[in-house]
Amino acid sequence: MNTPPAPLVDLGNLRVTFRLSDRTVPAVRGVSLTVGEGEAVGILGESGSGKSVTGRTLLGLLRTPPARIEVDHLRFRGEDLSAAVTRPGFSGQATKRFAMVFQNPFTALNPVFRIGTTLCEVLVKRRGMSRADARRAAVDLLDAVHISDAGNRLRSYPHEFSGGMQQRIMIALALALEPEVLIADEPTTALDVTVQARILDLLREIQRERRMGMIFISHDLDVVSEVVSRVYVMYAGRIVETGPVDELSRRPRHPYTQGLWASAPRLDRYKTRLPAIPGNPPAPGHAPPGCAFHPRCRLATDICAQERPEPRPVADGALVACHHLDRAAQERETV
Amino acid sequence: MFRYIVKRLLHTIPTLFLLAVGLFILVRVVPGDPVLAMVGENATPEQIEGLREQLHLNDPIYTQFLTWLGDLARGDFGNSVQLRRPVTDLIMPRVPVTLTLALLATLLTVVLAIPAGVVAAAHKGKAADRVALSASLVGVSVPSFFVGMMLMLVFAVNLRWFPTSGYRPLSEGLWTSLQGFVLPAITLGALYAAIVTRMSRTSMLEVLSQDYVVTAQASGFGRRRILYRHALKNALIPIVTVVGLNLGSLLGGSLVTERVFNLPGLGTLLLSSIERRDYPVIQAIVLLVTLTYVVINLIVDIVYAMLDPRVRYADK
Amino acid sequence: MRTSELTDPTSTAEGLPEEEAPPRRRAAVLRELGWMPLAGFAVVAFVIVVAALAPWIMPHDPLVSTSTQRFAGPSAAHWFGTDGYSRDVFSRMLLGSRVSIFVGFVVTATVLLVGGVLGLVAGYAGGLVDSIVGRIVDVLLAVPGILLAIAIVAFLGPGIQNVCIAISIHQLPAMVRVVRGATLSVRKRPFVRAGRAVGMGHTRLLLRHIGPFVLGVAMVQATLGFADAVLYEAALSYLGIGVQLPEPTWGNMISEAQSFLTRQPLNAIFPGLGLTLLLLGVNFLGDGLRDVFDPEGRYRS
Repeated sequence: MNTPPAPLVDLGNLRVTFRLSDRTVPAVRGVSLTVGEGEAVGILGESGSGKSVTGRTLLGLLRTPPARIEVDHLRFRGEDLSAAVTRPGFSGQATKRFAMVFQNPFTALNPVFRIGTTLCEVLVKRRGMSRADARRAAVDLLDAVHISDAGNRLRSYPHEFSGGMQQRIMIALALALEPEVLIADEPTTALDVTVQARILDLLREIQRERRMGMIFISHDLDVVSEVVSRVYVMYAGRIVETGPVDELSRRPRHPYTQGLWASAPRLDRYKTRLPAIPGNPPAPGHAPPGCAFHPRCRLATDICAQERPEPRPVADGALVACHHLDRAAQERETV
Repeated sequence: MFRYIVKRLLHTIPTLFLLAVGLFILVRVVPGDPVLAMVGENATPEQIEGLREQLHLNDPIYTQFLTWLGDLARGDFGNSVQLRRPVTDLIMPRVPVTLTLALLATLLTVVLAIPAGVVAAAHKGKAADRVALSASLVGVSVPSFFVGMMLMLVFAVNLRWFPTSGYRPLSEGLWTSLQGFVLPAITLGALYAAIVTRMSRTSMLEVLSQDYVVTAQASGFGRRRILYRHALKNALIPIVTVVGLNLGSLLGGSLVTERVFNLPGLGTLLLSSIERRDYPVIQAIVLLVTLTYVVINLIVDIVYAMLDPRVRYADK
Repeated sequence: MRTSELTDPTSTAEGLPEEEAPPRRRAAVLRELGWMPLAGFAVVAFVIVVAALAPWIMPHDPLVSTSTQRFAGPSAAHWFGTDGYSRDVFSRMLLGSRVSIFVGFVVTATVLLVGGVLGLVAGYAGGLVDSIVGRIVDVLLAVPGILLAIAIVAFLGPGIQNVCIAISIHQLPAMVRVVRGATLSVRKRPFVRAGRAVGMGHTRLLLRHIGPFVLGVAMVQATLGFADAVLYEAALSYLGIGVQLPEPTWGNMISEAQSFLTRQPLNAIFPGLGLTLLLLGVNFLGDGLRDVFDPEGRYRS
């Protein structure tokens, strides 16, 4: 038996539908992804692409109903969680494995609790520590996220910290759960540019030192490529392209990915002939039939409006869902 | 914190001063001669002149005002014209009755309404929520004097559980005294319970939509812990404000409730004084109740500041 | 960042993260409201029609004895029975409904007009005008609840006119605050600035551009004020310092019936239920209006 070791997380064909009073909205329409031991993967997409919903599903944060969750499978180190993830109350199981860092640290910390109270509560209630141990562990956690004078800072309230510091505390709070996978949902979007880089450094450092899995959710290609080794590109609830981050940035194959790359300002490619993507992504529930990207795609033909392209393997574990890979590749070469 | 309190205090002083001015002017714009109205139509010119002198009505208007204000500052509300007694002597024995009623009603509100609102929010859209919402909508719609009368009809007249009316002082025993307050307190409390239930529900729902609640879920805490530890403490901050502010209007409401149950509080004194056109007493009661209300507001603000660390440290 | 297992599903778009939530449409809001505002409207409309037609549909003269029996129970001749002076309770209630509706409308109109203008001017002009109006509002708000109305009636004397004045003054501060707040938020919008820039006059700007914007929240406040006015008139009349007997109002009918509560409780119950029904109707209607015009409760005082 020489099978490769089972990945840490193996999610197969996730679908999440929200049932509103007057209609149903499919937010995620089939997402499969894997995270290896100690691997950092990124989910890249615009707002409304379903990337946040995917992260929240793994943590059991969606309210069911109105959300309805379906999966072909969800395995965690081979353990089958397929049934559990679809049911309410999954967060109890999920938070033994996953922890999350949110987008907006200013509102994600409870304003009436001291930082120490917030951290120790997790350590005592979730990790079963004594109060004294929890306090020591809380100091260690603040040290780990590079907050100086940790012992005294435990007595401060969230509003006494800057945004970057609050995000560090959020990271410490996530680490308090000793997660095997850290899900970071746009963790730097709400922060100042100068602070962003330091938070990214911290996340990368922690992920490598602790050999954690990480799912990094962002709309920002540059931010993603700083931290992860593999990227999933999402559009309208589906993954349109996936592959190693180097491969994707060198040879983006899907027209949407190419557009994203092109519209990102880059120092090494300051002139580009690829136009930015025209139009806006569809709102959840309003994705066009066929390939959801076709109304905005410069390569679209009739087939794109009729038939949904299946993901096809291209190279080095990369998959692309596009009817016109050849033409897309040609266009890329002409850049 | 200290500076905050001083700032709030300084803000209330002009308000109280303007209120005093307003009351002072009101007595003087009363249609017809207030002195005539006070002493009655059969008074002799000497009596009228005597009263004018006694009320300093012959002094220049600003002197009158300053004299009156000076008396107030010394706790002297003047004399009741008809009853020929100091206003303070008339008011003081009434205060405990009104205060007891208001406090009992508040207690009832706090004990019933806050949990009701919190539970309703926790089960939004479910049966418990619907019951709490409907009850509170009915509660704010039924006039309190009608509620009181119906309670009296059922529990005092028919079931004879409580006395229909009247006041027994504490000296006759705690239970005897309290029995007379049960129905009035429920009457007065019902309206405010309705208001506080709605507010608590709204406040709790607002908190439950906050990001830190998601954080608590992502920390894997159970629903109960999130509701009653993480959310409740935040939700309580505005609730305390509403309860405190309502304590003031509760004082106003107790004036009506006293009439229903014929309790000898400030309300019944106020109404009989209005019938007698006993303006010094009316002025005194309005001032006293308002002053109490203003002080309560001040305390509420301070408690609010103590509960919310963001306000507490704002001055630092 | 709004998804939560505990979050209310109707307030935002039912558990979708905010950025992915489809906008709520007004039609959907109306549908969600359901039957309550409609029922409220029906009740209020019914009472208004009854009040308008009262003199023509009263079966008896409400002011004189029309029966041989005092405190009679309901019968074919006297639907709601008779009172202590053997007058017809049903006819008295019909006549009394006119007082409730009259006070409700007069107070609402007065408060809407006076409070609306004060709030608009204070919010628009700012500066000294705003400070003066703000001070007056502070003083009026300092007197708790019904005490202000009682105090004003105490000095002005009883009667329907003074009751209207007292309740209007009591309600004024809330309206001023609401309208002022809404005006302040509109004043900074681009279309107002643009109006100023092209040399539009203050009056024209206030009436044509800011006024309509503020009207929605003012109407919601006015609906709540209508219920308040009906309730306060009843309370003042119940206390004997509002509309005076023998002219019947639902409030003084209850007061009159209280002395004979053991003899004929129905004499208090009928006007009490009438009041409750009307107030429920107005509150149902007000809640519905509020959800449509001010869903976030921004301007509630």
